[in-house]
Amino acid sequence: MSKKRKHIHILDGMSLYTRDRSPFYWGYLNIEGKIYKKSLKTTDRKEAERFLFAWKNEIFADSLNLTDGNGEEDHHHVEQKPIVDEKRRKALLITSGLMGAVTVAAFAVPFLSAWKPSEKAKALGASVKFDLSKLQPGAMAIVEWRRTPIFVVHQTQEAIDNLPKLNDKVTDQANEVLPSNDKKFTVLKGVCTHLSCAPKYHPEIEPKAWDQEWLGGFFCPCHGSKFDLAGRVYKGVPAPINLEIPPHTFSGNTLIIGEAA
Amino acid sequence: MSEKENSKSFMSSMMSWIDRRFPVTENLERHLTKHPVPKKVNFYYLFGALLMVVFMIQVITGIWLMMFYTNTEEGAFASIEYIMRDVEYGWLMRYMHSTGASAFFFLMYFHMFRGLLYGSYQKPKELVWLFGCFLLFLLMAEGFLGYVLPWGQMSYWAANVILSLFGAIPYIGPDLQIWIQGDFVLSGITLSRFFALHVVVVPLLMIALVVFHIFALHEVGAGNPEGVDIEKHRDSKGMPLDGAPFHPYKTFSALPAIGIFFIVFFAIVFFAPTGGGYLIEKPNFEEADFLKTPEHIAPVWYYAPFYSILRAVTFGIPFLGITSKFLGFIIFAASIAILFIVPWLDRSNVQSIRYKGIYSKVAMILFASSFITLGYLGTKPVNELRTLIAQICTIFYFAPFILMPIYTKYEKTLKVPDRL
Repeated sequence: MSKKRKHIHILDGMSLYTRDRSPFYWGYLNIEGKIYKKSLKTTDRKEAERFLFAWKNEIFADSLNLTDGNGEEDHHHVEQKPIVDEKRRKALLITSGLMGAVTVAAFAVPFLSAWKPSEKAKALGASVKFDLSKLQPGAMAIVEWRRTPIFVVHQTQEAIDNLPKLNDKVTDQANEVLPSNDKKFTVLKGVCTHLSCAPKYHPEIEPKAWDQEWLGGFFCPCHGSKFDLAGRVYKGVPAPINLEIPPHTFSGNTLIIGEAA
Repeated sequence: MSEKENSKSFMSSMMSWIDRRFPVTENLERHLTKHPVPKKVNFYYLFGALLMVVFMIQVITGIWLMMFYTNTEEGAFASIEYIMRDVEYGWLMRYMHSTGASAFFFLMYFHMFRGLLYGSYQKPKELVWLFGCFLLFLLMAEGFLGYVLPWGQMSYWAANVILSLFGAIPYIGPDLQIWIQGDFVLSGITLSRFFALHVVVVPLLMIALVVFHIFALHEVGAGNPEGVDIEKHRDSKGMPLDGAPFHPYKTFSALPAIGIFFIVFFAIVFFAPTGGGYLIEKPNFEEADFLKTPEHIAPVWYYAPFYSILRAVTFGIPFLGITSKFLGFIIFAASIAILFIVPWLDRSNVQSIRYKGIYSKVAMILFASSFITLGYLGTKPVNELRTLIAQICTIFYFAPFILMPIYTKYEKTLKVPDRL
């Protein structure tokens, strides 16, 4: 079992080495020309290093004690306790810590703000204006807002009268969405609430393949969901809820989609 | 003095020149050739090494994919097709990366289950466990971000589901969601930032945590299935009697495992890269369409258990303004967060499940079976029965942890042997 001997230099005059027959690290000290060697009784490198330093300090302390006893001339060598103003040190730590925190926070602002929607994204996502004066009663316009088709319907007098008759056929009566004489325009997201297909506009009042008593509304060709002209969902179809209403407001003859009233 | 002994050959003098300036030999000895690990462990202890292998596969294939990928809304999907069809061996890079993601989770789950079984989180290994839990969290984030990049239908709509969870947070939610997306809808802007996070931020954090994980492990020493402390009995040189140096004993015993892993891994890469829709879902071969939601949005298998927990919460707390969606998000987050505190929940006086009492064993069986059941349910569309089962399994997922301080303290344990 010949272990490779090695020598580890720590500081000038301080080193660790290993010996053939010993599992332990050995320490070597050269203190002002005087050589000291001994086994440090450990196989751990880090521990050996600690022991070596402790041993060196021990030898130093001993030599100081010796000179202490011998005479007065070496007194200036005796270690003086450094004077530390703890209060000042603490104040400096706190102020520099605070300054550091402020700096980090200030630097964070641009980086976090960069994640907000850019001007381009804001422009694309901004509210959309639509002129209602050209929309005839019974007609529907599709306006794109935030990549979603928005249905704008100008309800006819007939539709306004017919819609309350459907209250028994829809899941959610939601009377607030019904059109009236002062509220003739219905604004809806043109996305089926079942699986996001596009429902088709069928304002005609006539028997249809999907409903013999059709009073006009939206029909989704994908899975057969039916909605009335106010976007209310019929009972017994796959779509669970009414067509969504996007935030919108009216300003005279202009419809603004994307701004809540 | 002993400098002469070292100058025997050029190599050894070179090594000592370096060691004087950079502690190569010292660290090799500390972490490999003299680092003692328990002699007797079982196959569960191979997953750590395999995880390192998979991590390397992901980094290397990831760098190569990055050379061909385009991180824009218009170009992302087409660039994946380009990698698949036109780049030489591009298909291999991509399928290794996508299969690697699944392998990463598979190994991670077993690696952590090993930890739960054999108490690899107990004092003084708490930090090893904590770093590992952070790695799981980062891996989940990394996987999610990476899944968005191909910009397929499932990339888009699954990301929508997850991002809308942030939107469900009361008060700050909607603004937070817009901030994360950088747009009012999930768009190319979101894709670009997810790309940066996926290829730089999260991998850097993961590398740092892997280093912490291993440093912490080497400080406290690896465990074993018996829960025996090998440090107690040492030979005259200080080497544990039940231990062997990591290198060459463990490194070489890991090689066959890596070989077997590669056989399975490449069998999937070559013959079933989509895993029947579980590894890469079918809708993801279609480009993201803002106006067309897929029939059924399901996560990849490795998120399925957590997605199931999310969906199992069908009720909110109305008087606190907490919707069912937000409560689901909280419970979902808690299902991962609870793993972090396991070291402080276990009050047993033994480490290994082999010496723990019957309650611990039942708890582990309940936990594992509910995790698997939740995983199965997460890939299926919901119905009433499935929701009920998922709710029961969610309780069984949490119960073993929540009740751990009680049953581990009072159950009867067996005496742990002195030697391995």
